[in-house]
Amino acid sequence: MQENTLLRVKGLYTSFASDGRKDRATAVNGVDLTIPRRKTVGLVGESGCGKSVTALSIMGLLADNGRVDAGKALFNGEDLLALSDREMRKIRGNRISMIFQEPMTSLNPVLTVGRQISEALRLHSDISSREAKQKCIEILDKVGIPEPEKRFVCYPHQLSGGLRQRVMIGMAMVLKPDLLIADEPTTALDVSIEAQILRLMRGLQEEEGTSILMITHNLGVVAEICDEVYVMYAGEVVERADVFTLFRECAHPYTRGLMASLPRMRAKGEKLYNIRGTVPNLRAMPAGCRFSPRCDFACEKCRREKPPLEDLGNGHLCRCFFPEKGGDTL
Amino acid sequence: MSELLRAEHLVKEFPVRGGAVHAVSDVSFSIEKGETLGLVGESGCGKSTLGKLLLDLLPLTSGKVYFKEQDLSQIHGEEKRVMRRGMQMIFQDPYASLDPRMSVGQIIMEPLNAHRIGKNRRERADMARELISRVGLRPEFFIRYPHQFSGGQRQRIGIARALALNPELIICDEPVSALDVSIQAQILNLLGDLQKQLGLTYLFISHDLNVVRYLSDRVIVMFLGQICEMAGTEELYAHPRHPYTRFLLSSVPQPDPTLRNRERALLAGEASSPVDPPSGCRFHPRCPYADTVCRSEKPALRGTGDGHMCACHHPLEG
Repeated sequence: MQENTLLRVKGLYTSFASDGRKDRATAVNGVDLTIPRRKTVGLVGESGCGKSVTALSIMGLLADNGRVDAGKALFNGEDLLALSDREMRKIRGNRISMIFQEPMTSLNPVLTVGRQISEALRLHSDISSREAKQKCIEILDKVGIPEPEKRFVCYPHQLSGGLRQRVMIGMAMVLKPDLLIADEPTTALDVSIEAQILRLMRGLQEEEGTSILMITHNLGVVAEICDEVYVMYAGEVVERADVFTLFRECAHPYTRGLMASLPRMRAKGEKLYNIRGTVPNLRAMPAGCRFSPRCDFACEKCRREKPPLEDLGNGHLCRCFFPEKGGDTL
Repeated sequence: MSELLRAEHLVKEFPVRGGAVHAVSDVSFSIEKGETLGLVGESGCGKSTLGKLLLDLLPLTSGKVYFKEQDLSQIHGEEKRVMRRGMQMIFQDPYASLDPRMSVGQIIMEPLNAHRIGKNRRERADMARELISRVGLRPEFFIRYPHQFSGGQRQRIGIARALALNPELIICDEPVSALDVSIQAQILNLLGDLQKQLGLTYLFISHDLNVVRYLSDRVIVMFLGQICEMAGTEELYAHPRHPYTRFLLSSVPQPDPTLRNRERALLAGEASSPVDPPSGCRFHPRCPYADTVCRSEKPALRGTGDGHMCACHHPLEG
């Protein structure tokens, strides 16, 4: 394993059972993913593409009906998926932590902010409650919360959405984890707060050297903060590239479609590109390339054979028989 | 162009214990026939409340709304019902705004029934089928229920319902915020097509500045219940005069990594509350340029040329 790799996910398959059905729905279908140290890796795709399930699988936080069917997640060389619940609890919150989209539902409403952050601290390190409080106030200050001593005794409902998300980040960062997984951390926030939170995450990363896995559907957020990007579609990685390459010359028709459907570059009255149809049902995946029914360029081969994830050079990976680097704008 | 709607000194206060939420405070503007007017601002700035006030879905505290030169507070009964056919609304959440117990056909026929349009049920059903295909759905969806549809399809159903009474003005309140990008593009294209085909006028309320830029002819920026800037779209995005507008524009994450180190405007302090809005200019506690005048005197919305209006004592250079 390379020195600078923090997490390597290999051949991850995750499926879910649902009531009254014998067959399971495969939400993640053979995902490979590498997170280098001190880098921010973006995982993008639309609702239901498997990006959150990938993260939850790594964290061992799948719902009861979910199951990792195969794969490895080598974290500093140790396979997280082979650990017992008890061993995983030592890593979670300590070496790897996670923040979610809606800070209100991920904070406990009946405990003060301070209590919740100290809980994480005292669970993973042997320190007195006074030291824990000191550390809490330091981290609240660091994530840009004004009057941290006052906020320490606040309940989540007394804080605005932006402050709550800062508390979540503080809680996630207090133990200086090696990896922070952020699942749509700014989606519920206004743009002005979003910009602050992204700046905060970037600052913490530079200071602490944390790696970040940024899960988002927002290509703007990806462009602002990520170093490398994986694009997922229907449970599979369809493209991977460094962020500059991806925005300059993405090659997969799905990624190109996503870029072309952004209103930013179009003049009023000019039509936006839209990817026809909808995301396929997990239990009824099309044969061959999973994107083929919606692809403008699909041919017989695409509908028959599954394209491999191929390297177009310099680690730019694309799952398509006819990749077109920076092809015509759609 | 002629004026379709005019809002004069609209005020909406919601009483709360020990005071009031000043949701909309002295807002005036007009909408021209056939245009798309964008209305942007962050959560709690009063933009959705404003949309509801225009449609009389909420009673005004004071102020007047004129639709086609008619003062809406002065007409009643049948006259008002007829007038209100002309203005409809599309809502943000396509999951919450459709009754789950009604079929698509019933949902679209409801306004037709309520306004007694069409001779009989059969005629109304035909009209509903036509509306369904107009928004790009299959006529056989008539008998299906909302839960059988995706978010994008539901938003199309909401649009068909809004079109049922042949409105001239449609108020779109965050119609694409809950949708994935590719679906968002489909709905934006549909709204554009319908505008061309039917000569519709839109008030497009959104927090997404990129979407508003793409769709709007003119844009209003709101902050804490007041208009801080109003201008033609290209003019506003290229030459924002109000410090808040400039700040908002520089905050939007841009899908272009080469811009990531661009200069960004910064704001001081924390957001103010509409319960106890700041004196003078409501933006002053957060404004890097605020001085004593800003703290004591409310800036008027003044023209700076080219139809560009800005409420600031010290507007930025264009």
